[in-house]
Amino acid sequence: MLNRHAVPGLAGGIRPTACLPLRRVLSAGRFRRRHRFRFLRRRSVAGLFFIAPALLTLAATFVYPVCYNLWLSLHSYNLSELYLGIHFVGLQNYAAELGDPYFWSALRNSLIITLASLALELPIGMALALILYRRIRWNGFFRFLIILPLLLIPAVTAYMWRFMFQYDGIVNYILSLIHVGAVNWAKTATGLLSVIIVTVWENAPFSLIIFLAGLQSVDPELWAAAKVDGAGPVRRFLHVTLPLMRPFVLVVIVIRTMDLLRLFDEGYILTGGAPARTTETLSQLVYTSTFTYFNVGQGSALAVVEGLIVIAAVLSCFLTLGVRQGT
Amino acid sequence: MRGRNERSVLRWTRKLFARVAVYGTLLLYSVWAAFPIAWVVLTSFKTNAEALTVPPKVVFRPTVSNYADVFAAVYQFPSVVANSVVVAAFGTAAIIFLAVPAAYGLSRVIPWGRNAVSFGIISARTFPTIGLAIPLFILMQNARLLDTRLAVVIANVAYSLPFGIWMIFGFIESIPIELEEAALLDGCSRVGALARVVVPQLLPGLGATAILTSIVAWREYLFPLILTTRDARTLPVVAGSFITDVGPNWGGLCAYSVLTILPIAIFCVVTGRLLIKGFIAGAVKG
Repeated sequence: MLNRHAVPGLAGGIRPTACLPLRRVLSAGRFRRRHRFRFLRRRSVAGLFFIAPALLTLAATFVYPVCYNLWLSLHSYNLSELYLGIHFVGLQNYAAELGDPYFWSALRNSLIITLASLALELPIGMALALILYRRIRWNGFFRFLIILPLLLIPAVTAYMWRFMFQYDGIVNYILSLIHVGAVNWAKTATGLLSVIIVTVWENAPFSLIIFLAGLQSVDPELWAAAKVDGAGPVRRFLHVTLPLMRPFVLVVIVIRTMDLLRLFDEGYILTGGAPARTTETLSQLVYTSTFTYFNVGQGSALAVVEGLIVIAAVLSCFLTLGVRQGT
Repeated sequence: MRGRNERSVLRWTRKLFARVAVYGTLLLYSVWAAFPIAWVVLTSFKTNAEALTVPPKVVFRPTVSNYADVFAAVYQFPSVVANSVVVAAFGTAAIIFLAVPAAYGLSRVIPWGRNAVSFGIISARTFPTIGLAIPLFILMQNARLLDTRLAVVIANVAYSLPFGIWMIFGFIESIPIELEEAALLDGCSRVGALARVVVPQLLPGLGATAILTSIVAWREYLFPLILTTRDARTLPVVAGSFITDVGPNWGGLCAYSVLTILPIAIFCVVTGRLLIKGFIAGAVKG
């Protein structure tokens, strides 16, 4: 074993300071502090050697493009009007957004998709986790079937569903079997609904996995104790399980909120914004501005605003749900 | 005597109800999860004319013409698969090689490493992919790298490297520091300690990280959509080429979907535990 007292940097054991004169103790402390400071600085420099490759890569491939994006957002730059050149316009691109009805409808759509999907994914994931946590026959088989949608390529999944959402497709056939009748999935509300259905089908297993991990970290004695105290299954869930699962719920909400607000694949493939760009999400809006209308400046500004919206959403998640956890 | 009997019957029925409810829910959800996949598998064996009929055909003469379609020269299927594999493999290799020393430095050497990692992962995860794709598109255009595998690899590395560092950082933090200290005392250099002491213990973690970053690259749609046009397209993007102006080839699309689902399903069966462990490790440690 390692003798900690022999190594100056690692000293942490109990020292017989009580019998030493006060002054010597103090000066030793001062010396140790200064020594420690230099030691830390030296460590920082040595550490830079380790992180330099990753740092340089990130600087070139992430930080620089992001800064370039900010720069673009302050300029008028249209790929279809390159003869006009690139010139500085200040915050004009941002101001233009606020008056743009497409921006507001995209924001509305993203919020609807995010809230609706979260409202469905979390309870489904929790219910399935509570079931699969028990000893169930064919547990592995059920888990495999239920988790499989999460592992597929989202774009391919979206194309699969696009096929099934055709007017003559299987979804409408099943709906007519249960006497709902065929639905035109190419309208604004139904288009958004189709995006939500696909997102939930795909991502409910994500909350299932996290919640299963959470349940496995709970001490089963707590349930047993609650049961002895006469709590029924509902109260056991509300007063024992749910409070213990709080951090896991928070993780799922934060991660899913970020991903749902940035949703692109499903919306772009399923509806393509149709009809008349009324089902566009924020990411789709950025995409059409940049690659359909070639307005790079506008698109960059929209991307920045989208990033700010995501950050604001995540922060508000932490503030409303995370604070009580800390106390 | 009778009262006791009644109670046991009551308990028995309640248990039965609970069991029926549990298995019923499970069965119902499994059908909901598996039916779309099953339907696509079924459709992939139908001709294109049979793919969309009212009422849908369940009994039909199966054909493999759709699979032949996918392998037709137009779709360049083998080269698309190669693109996806190369992009995922090179991106993952680059991320591992860059992230291991970085995570080690941030965990063991630099005192402010923990804060840097948290800040980095949060800022990287909140930034919209599309906001990275626009400047990368213009930069790649200027560098004449559009429609190359390198462009997609660069985009993936940019997006997943913070994630890789964060994951490996977590795994290094969970390794006890005593062994390294012993190695350092015995005159081993920092690099030596990393290579001989840390990395061998890190291998399972590296596996999980590699699987996850490969999955992210394999699934990524936006970067290849924007950065490639023909030669470097990956699997998710090419799925769109079954829907053309002439009309959709649904049978072909379904066969294509099955071909992309199959390796995932096999992979999932073979390494299921590892995959899910990786997912949890990747998500919960924040």
